Amino acid sequence: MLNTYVDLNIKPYKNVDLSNLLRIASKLGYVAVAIEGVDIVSNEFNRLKVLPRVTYKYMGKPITTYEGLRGRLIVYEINQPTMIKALTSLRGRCHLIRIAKDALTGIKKKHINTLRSCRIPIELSVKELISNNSINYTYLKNFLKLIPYVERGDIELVVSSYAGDEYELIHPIQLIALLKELGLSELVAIKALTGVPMKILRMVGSGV
Amino acid sequence: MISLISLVVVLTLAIYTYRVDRRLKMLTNAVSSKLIIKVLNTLKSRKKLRKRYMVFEVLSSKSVGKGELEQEVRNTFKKIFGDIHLARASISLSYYDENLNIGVIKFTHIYKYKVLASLGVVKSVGDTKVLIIPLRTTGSLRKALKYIKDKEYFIRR
Repeated sequence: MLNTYVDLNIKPYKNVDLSNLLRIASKLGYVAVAIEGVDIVSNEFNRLKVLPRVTYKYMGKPITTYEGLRGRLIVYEINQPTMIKALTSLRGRCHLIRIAKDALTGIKKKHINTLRSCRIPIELSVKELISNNSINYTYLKNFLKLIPYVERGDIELVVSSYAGDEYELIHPIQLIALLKELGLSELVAIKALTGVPMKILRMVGSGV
Repeated sequence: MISLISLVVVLTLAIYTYRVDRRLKMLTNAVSSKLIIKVLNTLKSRKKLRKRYMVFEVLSSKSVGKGELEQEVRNTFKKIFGDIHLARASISLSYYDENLNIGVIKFTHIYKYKVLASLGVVKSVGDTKVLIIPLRTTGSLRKALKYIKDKEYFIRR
């Protein structure tokens, strides 16, 4: 199988040249990206599949209407650990759950058990892990709590860049190496960048 | 009479040889079980550390100097993995072309993933935002430079 690296979270800043960002993403070896906050003109750029993404803040229950969201990646973002409850209601209503920095910082075992039982892939971003040319200690500490569950297959993990410009992107090989150094096995690290995101894209039905 | 004495002597010698041999065997076994494993482990740990040369490209908003980049990579590696691993990895920037923004970083072969991870973490050099893209890892500087030369030719065409 060829390298099918996917970045499911790119949120460009206001004054960023999108075509340049996508060119660099293509150069890095990604085959598909999901972009948020920008109107996408074409679904393909230089053999790179581009997918629109919508993120909702989870406030305890899912949104009621899904009109006009066909073909979009639907993500619920959890900002606080106390919001990690009743996630089973999201099953079938979203493709991915994004755990924000603040939510991961205060995560406890009961929250992890909820994440395990909901069976929806979770997304963590590298941009929040890396800060000031170093690794954020508090983020890392809580990220390491999730690793045994991810390794065991109880939680499906997707790692994305959450890049605002081209310099915040990360090469997939570097990301795999970083995850490997953090304690994930190579196979699971590759799966977090290829297998699980591809499965989600097939669910969205983008034809990737 | 003589034959009887010689028989006794032969028997004594045989018993003595058997006992010594047995003791020797026991000693050899003991040596093999403890010392040889130790020696093997030492040999394994002393396995030759080979050098690797990674060709990388730097995308940056402004041009970045060789010294600054090397310092930043070393600092990042040190922050993540510590002084001991930094010393063992023996990271150095063998070559850097400021016009092409392509360089070669040298390190010990067992630290390939650690170096890759730390290159991914480097997001700025001074005030300049950078993105380091690894291109190829080779076993000799000559091959790495040949790869750069080919790439340069490709870029200029």
